[in-house]
Amino acid sequence: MADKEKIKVKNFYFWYAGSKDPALKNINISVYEKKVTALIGPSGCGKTTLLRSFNRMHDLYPGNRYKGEILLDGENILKDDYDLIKLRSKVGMVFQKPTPFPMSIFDNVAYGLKLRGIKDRKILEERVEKALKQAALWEEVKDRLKSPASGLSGGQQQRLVIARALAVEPEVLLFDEPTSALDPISTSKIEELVVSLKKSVTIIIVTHNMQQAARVSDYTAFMYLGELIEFDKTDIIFTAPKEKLTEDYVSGRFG
Amino acid sequence: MRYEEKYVKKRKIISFIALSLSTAAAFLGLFWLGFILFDVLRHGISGLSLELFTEDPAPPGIPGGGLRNAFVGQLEIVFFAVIIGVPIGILSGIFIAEYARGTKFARTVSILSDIMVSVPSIVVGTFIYAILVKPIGHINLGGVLAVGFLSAMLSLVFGSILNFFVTNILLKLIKLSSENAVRLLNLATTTTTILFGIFLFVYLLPKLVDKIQGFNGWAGAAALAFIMIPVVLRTTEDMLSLVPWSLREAAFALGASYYNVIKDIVIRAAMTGIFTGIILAISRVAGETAPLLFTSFNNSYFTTNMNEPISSLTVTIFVYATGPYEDWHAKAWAASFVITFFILFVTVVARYIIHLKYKG
Amino acid sequence: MNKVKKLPLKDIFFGIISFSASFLVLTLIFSVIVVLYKESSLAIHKFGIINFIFTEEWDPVKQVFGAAAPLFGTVVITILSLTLAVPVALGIAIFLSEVSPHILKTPVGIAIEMLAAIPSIIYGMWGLFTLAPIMSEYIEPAIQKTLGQIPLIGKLFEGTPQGIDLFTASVVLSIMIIPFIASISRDSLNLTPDLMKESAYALGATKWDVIKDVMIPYAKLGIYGGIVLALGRALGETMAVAFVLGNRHEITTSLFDAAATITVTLANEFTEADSDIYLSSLFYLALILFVLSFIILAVAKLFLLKVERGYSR
Repeated sequence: MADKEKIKVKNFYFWYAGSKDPALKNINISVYEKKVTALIGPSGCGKTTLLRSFNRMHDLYPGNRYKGEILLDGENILKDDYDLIKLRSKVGMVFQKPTPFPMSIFDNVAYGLKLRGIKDRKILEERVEKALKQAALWEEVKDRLKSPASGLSGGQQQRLVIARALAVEPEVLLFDEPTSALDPISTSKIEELVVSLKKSVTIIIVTHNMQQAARVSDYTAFMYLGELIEFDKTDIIFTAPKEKLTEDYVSGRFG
Repeated sequence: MRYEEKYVKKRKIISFIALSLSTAAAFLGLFWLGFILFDVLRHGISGLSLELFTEDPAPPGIPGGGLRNAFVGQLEIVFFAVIIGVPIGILSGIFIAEYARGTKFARTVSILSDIMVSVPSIVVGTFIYAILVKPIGHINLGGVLAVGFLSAMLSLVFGSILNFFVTNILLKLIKLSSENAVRLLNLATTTTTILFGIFLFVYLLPKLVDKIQGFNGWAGAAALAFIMIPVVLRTTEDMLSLVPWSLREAAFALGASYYNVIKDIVIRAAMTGIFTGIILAISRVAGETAPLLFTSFNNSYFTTNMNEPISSLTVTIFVYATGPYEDWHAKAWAASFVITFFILFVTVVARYIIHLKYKG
Repeated sequence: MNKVKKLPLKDIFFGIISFSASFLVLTLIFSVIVVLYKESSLAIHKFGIINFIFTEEWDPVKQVFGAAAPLFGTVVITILSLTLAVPVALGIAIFLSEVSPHILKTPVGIAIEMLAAIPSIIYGMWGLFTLAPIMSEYIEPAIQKTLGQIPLIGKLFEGTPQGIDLFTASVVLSIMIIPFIASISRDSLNLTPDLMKESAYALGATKWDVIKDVMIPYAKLGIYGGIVLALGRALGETMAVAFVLGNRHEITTSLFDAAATITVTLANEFTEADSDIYLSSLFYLALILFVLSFIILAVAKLFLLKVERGYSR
């Protein structure tokens, strides 16, 4: 049974503002539905740049330029008239440092819902509880939903942020080095979470930790200097890569 | 989940309106600035003339004359305010940023000086009036203190110059044989400075004190210095704190005394910032009126004698603008023009220096 | 080189001098309180505290003095000028922080700082010769014809619009304090971490949502600090107000009436005081103003210190 394609990147180039050389060159890649795809590579290879293209984060900073197509369920999200807010309803993001808003735990998770006009108290409570359970945080915070989110530990805050992203029921969830600021125990909790979430969400994760990529992902893409060197099922990338560069990287010879 | 398009559209419109309002606010601010500057320019330029700077005021009601006394008086008052205020500000800034770094004393001084900065300037005027203008019995305590300060400041200046001369010129010319000889020379310099200060104090005291009664220029300078001190202090403290500790450690490792470390290395690193802070403090007090109203007061005649009431540009503007004569109003505008553009020029230059130093 | 054992003379000497300088700063503030109290003691003993604050009468001939009118004026124009200034200043701060295109940020920022650098006496001049006539001829009559017709609110706008009144003074003062609030607020808003802003955008927020729900709460303390600081400034401002307020020792309900503030009264009457009790009463006013400023600035400092500490994590 072939995996279904959720996102297809076609001949994608990206330039940062004021730069003549593209940061991403001719990227062609498929992201499969309800699977975890990892983007790996040494610093500066463009993996985060590619990730941030999936929800057009680059649009926040004037001057960035795209070329090519990124098709989400067949629609090109790079078109000028594609509604960014609609895009971000379908594609959520978790960042490398926990970013709880200056509000209570409840309000944090409910934020995306309030942005979409959901005011009914009961519905909000249901959705918040569901999201916190999905993020494996419910038991720890259910008695203090009104307390400030800043009171949580680093690992808890990151799970809170994940719950916040999940509350909106996105189809794709982007993770940008989500555990780089966390301790080992929180890291493994998040990794478990990522694996369990793929039942409902398509996940793309950027990580500089190869072991992490090997542990959680189904597919892996290895990038180097803005180009996609190799993309395949994770076991193949780590045990029998086709490109020499890939092999050098995964065996630790550089990066 | 279902994508709530109508609600999102509403939010986008609200966002657009809110951001437009904030842009409008910015334009409003620019509008006020332009309006005020334009007015000062318009009214002020027509009153400008050479006579404004070279002649003294004509008798009230008779047109003509100039504001020479006010320009000179303003310069003199600000000059002495700087002499009194800047050294105190820098020295105390050095003390709390270096010797007393991190202590409760330092925090107290720092916080109190922040508060001092925002004491209403007119209250500063009343305070200085009480100690330097209003006669207290037969001994003007304030006057004695003032003379003491003046002597201390002037001897500090003298001492610095002497020290500079000794270390950089004399020692290069005369090769001294032993270390003790060098120490002796330093001791001699310090002693000379102290003696100079004491001599100055004793000499100036009878000359100035019994004449300091009633409004006088020294009180005006002191009032402005009061305002300058905390500004210079905080700037010095902040700039010195920015200098990384490692720089000092390197100097200590070479065997330098703290004083040398501060003088030669730390100050040099923070110099631009401190200097700019001083410039900004000067531009701030140069435009002050309230603290001068009951200290240096006003004088329609030309004088450079700081023991008497002395004219200042700002007080003159106040008196002339609220007076009945058209000629006075025109002169007030002309004086406003000079002060405003001088201060703006200085402010822009100071900011530009900061910009250069911290960007380049 | 055996300089390590003995403390160098230079260090001792310099240390003493710089210590004295900072000790002086410490004593200066306390001296102000002591001196002001000493000078006002005559009036304090004659009029008491509560009585002085609530007496409206100010009669140099009968030698009866009360602070009610200047206090009233001070409070009114401080509140009114802040009300007018805060929305505009926040708007400017938001503009400089998030809305403005990059090339405009520096020039507009400099323009706002220039507004802050203009000496207050210039504001006074402009207020007297330009704004007051405009107020009395156009703006105030217009307000009387519109808002002035509403039953209760209309009382605020009664009387012949002369232009020299609480309203004009508040407007001038508000323009003066806008840059203070704007620059502190802008700096506070800029402290919001980029990642936090991006997180909100990633959830589908509009720019205004990000400002309203993330940046302003994050910058709350700094903004409060800036407002309180401006409050202190407004409280103690003399020259911007002295030209356009008159010096009328009466409490009034109309914003179009002349009035008095502590600073304006001091500026106008200090050198005219011909009796000890008169002068002492003026010092009493100065003391009250000093205490008020001190308290307000301590509060502002509290906010701003919290900001410093909060972001060291």
